[in-house]
Amino acid sequence: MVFSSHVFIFAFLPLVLLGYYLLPRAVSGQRLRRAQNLFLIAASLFFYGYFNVSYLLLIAASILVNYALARAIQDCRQQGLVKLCFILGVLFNILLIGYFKYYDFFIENINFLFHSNYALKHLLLPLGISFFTFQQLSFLVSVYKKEEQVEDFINYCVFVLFFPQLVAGPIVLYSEMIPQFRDESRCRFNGDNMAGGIFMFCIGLFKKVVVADTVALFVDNGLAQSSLGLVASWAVVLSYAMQIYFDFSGYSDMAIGLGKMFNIDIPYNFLSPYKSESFSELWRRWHITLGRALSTYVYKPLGGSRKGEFRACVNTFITFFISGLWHGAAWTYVLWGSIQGLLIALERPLRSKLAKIPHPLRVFSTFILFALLATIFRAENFSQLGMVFSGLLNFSNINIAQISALVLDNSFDFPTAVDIIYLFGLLAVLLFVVLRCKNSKEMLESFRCDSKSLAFTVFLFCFSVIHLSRGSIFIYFNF
Amino acid sequence: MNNKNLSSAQWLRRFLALVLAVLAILAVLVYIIDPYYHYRAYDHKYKIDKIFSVPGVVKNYDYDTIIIGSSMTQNFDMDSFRRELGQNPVKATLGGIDTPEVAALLKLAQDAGHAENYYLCIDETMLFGDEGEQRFPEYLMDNNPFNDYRYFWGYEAWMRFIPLDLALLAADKLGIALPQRFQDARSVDKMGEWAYRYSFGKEQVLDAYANSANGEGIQLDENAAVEDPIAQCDKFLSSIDLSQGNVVLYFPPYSALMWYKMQQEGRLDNYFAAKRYFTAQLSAYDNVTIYDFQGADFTTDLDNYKDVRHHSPEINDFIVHCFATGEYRIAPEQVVETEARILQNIETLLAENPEIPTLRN
Repeated sequence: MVFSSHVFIFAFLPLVLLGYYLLPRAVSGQRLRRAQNLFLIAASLFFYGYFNVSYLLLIAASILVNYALARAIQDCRQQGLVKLCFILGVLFNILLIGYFKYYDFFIENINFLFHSNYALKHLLLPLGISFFTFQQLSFLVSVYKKEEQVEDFINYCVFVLFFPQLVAGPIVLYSEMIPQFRDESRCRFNGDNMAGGIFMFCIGLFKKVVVADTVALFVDNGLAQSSLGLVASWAVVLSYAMQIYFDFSGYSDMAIGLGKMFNIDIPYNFLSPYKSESFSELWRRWHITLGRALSTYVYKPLGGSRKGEFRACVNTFITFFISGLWHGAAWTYVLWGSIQGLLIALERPLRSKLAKIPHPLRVFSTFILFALLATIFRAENFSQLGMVFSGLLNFSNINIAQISALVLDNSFDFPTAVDIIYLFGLLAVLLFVVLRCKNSKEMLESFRCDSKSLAFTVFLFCFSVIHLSRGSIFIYFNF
Repeated sequence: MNNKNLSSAQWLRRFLALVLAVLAILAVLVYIIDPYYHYRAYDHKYKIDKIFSVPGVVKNYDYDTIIIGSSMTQNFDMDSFRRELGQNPVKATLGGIDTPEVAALLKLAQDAGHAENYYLCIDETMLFGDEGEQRFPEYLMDNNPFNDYRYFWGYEAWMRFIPLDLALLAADKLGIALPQRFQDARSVDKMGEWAYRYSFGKEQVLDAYANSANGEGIQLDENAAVEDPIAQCDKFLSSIDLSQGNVVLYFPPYSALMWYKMQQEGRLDNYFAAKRYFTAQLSAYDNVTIYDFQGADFTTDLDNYKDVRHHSPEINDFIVHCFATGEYRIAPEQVVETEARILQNIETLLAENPEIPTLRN
């Protein structure tokens, strides 16, 4: 089930909220929290199984094995056994994700290198496998390092399965979620949280179904061309930068809003990344919870910045290389991650020189560079990427009329001038929003229950609802 | 506007009430405007869309004859049916239509109960092509009122059609003369028509044939032959009910170059086998007549085409004329005679046009 669907918004969510807040009428005392967590687990399993029932077996196996190993790591007295359980846990998670996500990629490369012909499996990637595997792996590490205590199985399940963050994050930590799922003061309906949650959910929904899915059309149409002129290439690059931001931050906002409806605070994942003046700043504002996890479990164990400037640069590069691979099993992702890593690594020694460049120029160049790199992320293969990139500097083929092909949605052929004004007008508005306007966190913090916020939220919701039937899937579900 | 502070309970109650009110108003407006003709159909009122309007027209328009098919049927002149056959026709067509879509449209028309005459264009892809998805939205194809919310709060209805439809209606009211293509876009008779956008001629056809990069699907595809065309035919036949009304099935006249291409791909015999089997199954129906234009002499004249497959509207007129006169009507067992003519036409085409190259991988 996706958040931006009729079935989720008009059936699943209202019923789950109703059930959740009716439980206090039937159960009281300490049993209430447990009953609510069990209810959330059941709802989340339904949410996850709605995509594909067979996924349930996989996620159930993942949870059972990780929980058993975490318990063994915590309870075992023999240090050797603890280490063995930990290694088994790490291997289990890496093999699980490796099998489903990277098997075909690995075999393709073997076949290419050795001219062999091993069969590909074409496995259907279980949704959110990267997220729930990473989350559980990080938990195992924390237990091994004695930073976390394994508690009862129900709490562990709700930590992994809580549907708002299950399939595309934010990647949450046990220590920030479990106290909330234990807290009895969060059991009962809270009007302020509910209103704030609805407000945040509507912002995210609007970002996804209205904004991201609209610009997605430009990108899809652009990449379907056999060649792109200068103007259309830039339109595709800028549109995709907008699409990926509004898509993923929209999803995260919805997750945060949903959490709030259940009185659960989910960490922010995006803080105006396009306002950044450097790549390192951008990655502190973009997919924050992934950056946090990679920093804790990859960058710091590699030595972080403790072993001098050069090692810090190398460690940064390795971390982003892994980030690229985490995002997807293709060389385009690896290239994308590697270039990000290289740029951030290079920013370290050049800090003082870069600081002399005027702020607007730094923001602009960071944004453009990120948008170009995002195109690598989007391209299905290197020839598609070559088509876009060669168009970017092709001053002999400006072909502004090609914008009509990008805007085409098969409803009516409007004059090219209208298409150009529409596409670039929309991109200009979005650019203004991402560079100058408040982000979702700031909007939620300044949210008050008043008639203005009411009208705004009703507009966001209703306008989004009429975009639901357009149908699409979140970009980050693929990871 | 005064920004009035509210308690969270008031905010939530009003949010719920306002959302319900807005959604109800949107639903009522869609029901009244009905841009897809889902509840009632008119001529020359709204912009007609090949995906969204066809189901409503089939259900609610006034007709006694329905033509179901692919782009091969989209340029039929409805007046020619009126003139030559005295019928009151409507087109239910979709470019690249697939067998599930033909079956769905036929069933929709049969359930609607308007039609006495059914014309079905049987494309070669239907007999052994890949089976695609049914592209007409489910909520427009069924009679289930509970999924009409997809229409009431539909993106296409609200963001694409209603604004345009209201603008067109306003232009009518204000007496603003719109270009002819805006008028044609609202004509049920012209639903799906595409001929005005293209030019026809040998040059275009040879260009399309020779330039494999232009996406016209003329690349040599040696994997195109289907292992079991009989099973595909059985599947198609079992999905359609041919027992109602007067049914006319016709095999459309692709250019001889199309047959040459299929011959090079090694799937011409495969197609012949499928077609023979398909027509043999039709002998069971007294109400089905078959027309086969695939061996027609004019298929060697590439000036009649825009690419290897698509013929000019004049050929459509000729086909309707044949429906009236019975020319090109065949009995199921006569289908083999067409095969010899197709092979002869390929030879004639190549003799008359020695510049036609052989396709390569």
